[in-house]
Amino acid sequence: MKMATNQRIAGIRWGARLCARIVIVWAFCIWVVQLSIASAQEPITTPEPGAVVDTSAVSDDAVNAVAASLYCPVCENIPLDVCPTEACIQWREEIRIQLAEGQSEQQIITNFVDRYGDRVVGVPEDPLLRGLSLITPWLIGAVVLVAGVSILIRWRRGQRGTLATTTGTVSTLDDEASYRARLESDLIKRR
Amino acid sequence: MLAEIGLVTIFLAFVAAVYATGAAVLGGQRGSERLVISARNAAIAVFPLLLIATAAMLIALIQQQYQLTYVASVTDPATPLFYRITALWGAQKGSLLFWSVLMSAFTAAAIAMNWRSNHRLMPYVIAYSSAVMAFFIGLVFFFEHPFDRWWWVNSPEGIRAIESMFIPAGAITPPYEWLATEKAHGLNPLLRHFGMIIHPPMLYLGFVGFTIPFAFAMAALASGDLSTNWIKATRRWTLISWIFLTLGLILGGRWAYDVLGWGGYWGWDPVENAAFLPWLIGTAFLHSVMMQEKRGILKVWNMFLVIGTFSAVMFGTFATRSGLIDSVHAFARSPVGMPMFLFWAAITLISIGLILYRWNRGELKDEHQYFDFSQRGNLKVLFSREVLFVFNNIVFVALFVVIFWGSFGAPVITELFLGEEITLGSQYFLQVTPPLFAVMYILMGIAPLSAWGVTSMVRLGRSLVVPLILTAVFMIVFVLGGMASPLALFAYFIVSLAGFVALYEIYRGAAARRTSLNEDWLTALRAVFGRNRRRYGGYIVHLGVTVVGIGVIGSTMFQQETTRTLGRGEVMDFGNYSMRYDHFTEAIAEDGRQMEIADVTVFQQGQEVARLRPRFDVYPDMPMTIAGAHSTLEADYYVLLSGWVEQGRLATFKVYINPLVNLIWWGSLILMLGTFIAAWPAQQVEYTPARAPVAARRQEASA
Repeated sequence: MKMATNQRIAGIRWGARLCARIVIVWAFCIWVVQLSIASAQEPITTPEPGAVVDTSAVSDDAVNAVAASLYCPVCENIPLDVCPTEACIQWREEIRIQLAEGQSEQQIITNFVDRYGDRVVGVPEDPLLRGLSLITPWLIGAVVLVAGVSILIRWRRGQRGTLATTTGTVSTLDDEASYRARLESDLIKRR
Repeated sequence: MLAEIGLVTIFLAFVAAVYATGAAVLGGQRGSERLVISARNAAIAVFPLLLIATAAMLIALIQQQYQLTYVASVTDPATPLFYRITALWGAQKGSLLFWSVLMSAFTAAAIAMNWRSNHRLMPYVIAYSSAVMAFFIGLVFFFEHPFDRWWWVNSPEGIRAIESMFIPAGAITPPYEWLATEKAHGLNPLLRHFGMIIHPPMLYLGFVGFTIPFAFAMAALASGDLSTNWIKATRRWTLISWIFLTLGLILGGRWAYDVLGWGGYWGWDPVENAAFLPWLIGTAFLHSVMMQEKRGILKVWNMFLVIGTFSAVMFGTFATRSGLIDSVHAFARSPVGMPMFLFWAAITLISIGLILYRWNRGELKDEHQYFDFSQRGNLKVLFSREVLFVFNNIVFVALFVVIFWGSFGAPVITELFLGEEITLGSQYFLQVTPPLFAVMYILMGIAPLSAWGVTSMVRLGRSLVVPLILTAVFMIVFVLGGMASPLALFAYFIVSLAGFVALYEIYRGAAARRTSLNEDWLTALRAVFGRNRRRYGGYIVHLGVTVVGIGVIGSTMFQQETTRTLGRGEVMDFGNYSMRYDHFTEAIAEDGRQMEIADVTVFQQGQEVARLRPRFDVYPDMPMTIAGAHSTLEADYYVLLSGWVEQGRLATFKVYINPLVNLIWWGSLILMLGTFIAAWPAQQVEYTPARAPVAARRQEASA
């Protein structure tokens, strides 16, 4: 009894250590991704305010190409390029002006994020949030995969001793001949 | 009068559900058949009671009794009869009542149909399903009263209108004119679409249906009868719920495509995802349940999947109904948030606790060794059906995890702990889900050809030859058709391989019968489907999923869009279509919305192919863009009217070409057909009949 309790405590400790390690790896990955994104971001150049720009050369398609990666602030989760509300029409006009001023797509997006926060883009621009969003699902996937493989390996080890008993259950249905034979015998049984 | 009837019946239904829960638990513990029968009767009685309440609400909606606040909130005198009826599920209160009545119908049917065959599980099935019903009826009765009424009360400042379930002291019924003009609002215009009318009932049927497998799984855990009985009893219920959920998802997509005006059918909106999550886990369960039936393994895992599905249903319901994430669908921030959250958390924790308890006692041990690694090398085992099914489950669960994280995990965590609101949109989902979907399709192509136990590479390869050749031919057609993207070709390759494997397996089954029994093709095919509906129905489902996949790849990877402003009579060229802008009309519809309609003619190679009328509707504060679409199997030419000046002198059109998008709808129909075949009750000519005569003969002999 006491042994079982000790074993259980050891198991819990082992589990806790494993969880802690996973969390550390998680945090480390996010940190690395954050650093790499942060160093890759260009500084923003804002053009002179007040100047009137001619937007006639900017096509709707060019505006929508930028707007597709932005999200409307009012109607949540609707991409800006397809939202019919007044607010979104204004935002698209703003994009048109900024394009006419010669800003790049990334600059315009960064500009909107600076003013309204990371909720206006489909994947956060902020390095920490971006890392958190994109790293976590892959890490969870990796943990699941490692767990799956380790369970497979444990089964394998556990089974080396008890092999003889299980061989009877193996079937090789996909062989054409045996498949047909089995089908026929089933048919006879059911008739 | 209707309000009183509704109130009383809902209250009685609540009492009956609570009583059924208690009596079933007591009856189960004491082994009292009388108590269990009483619990059964109470649980079944919930259904007619709620049916009366729902009928009362429907009559109120049809008779325009605007004194009921719910009726006034979803209809007005201009609402046509059809939308009066569907307004039953047009907003939170009514839809919760509707949800409860559907749940009670499922529960009554499941209890009645399994009463004899699964008698041992029954007390706990009744207890769990009634507890879930009691919770939802309680929500209706205590938090979201659908039968609240408007009253006029005299106060020092004059007459005041108040909402109350019961008549306040000295209150009078407000006059009809006041109610109809001041209080009655029409149904949310976005919901006035055929897809939106059927989509919620289908989704609800899917959702509430999963209560039955859950109740059976919990009953198995609670009673200790952990044989495959519960699996056998619930498989068909799971399949039926799965059909409805699938149909609900597809109709929702169709509605978005027709009404939301963004040229797509799936926006990775959190509310869409909330309905997709239970589907993923439910699909994983439908596959892994075969492992338990055929091999007696993965018992714990199946329990987790059933409970996970129900938990995902509860979570989705909570997330969409509480306003946890705002979007088009989330029609109300409401007081039900906290109770729903607590119920979801409690149900999930109790279920997991019960599994761990039984697992710890060694009662969920597998009947066989999982995999035989002994002979003929490990690779063969890796391609055994068991291992491939495990991979299938891992893929579905991984999809669940990444979609859950994107829709709820990351946004909620960052808002709670970092104080930052974020959106994870299609950019996120299109990064993380395609690899997983690709693995899913690859498994769909290999697993049906594998055998239980071990599959030798040679045999697997041999059975893959024909499907591979067919797929290669298919690919050549694609390349000759001008497809140059290697990524798209790879995607089409794995998807169509899965389809050809399904077709080939059906062919093999029929061919085997044809040669051995000299049947003609039609008889052989019918017999193959008749003898093993699950297997061959499943292949048809795979075929449907393949067709859907081809449509999704085409419409996602090759969608073209442009926005152009045209004058009257002007023609624009786009893709291999051209479009002429003809007229512009303004009109006011019966229900009061202002409509701006553009008439356009679409040409292909100089030939007129369609006249379309894209529309822009404005309700008092809600604009809606209704697309005009020219649909062919090859592509949809989808036109939106996105702006105009000076009574339509110039009009701006947003045009999409969505290649192969119609395959999604056709594939869905194939999928439905397959599911019906798989769910159709098989004739009871199993191997058992031999036993009865033997027993009878023995009796005769002894007598």
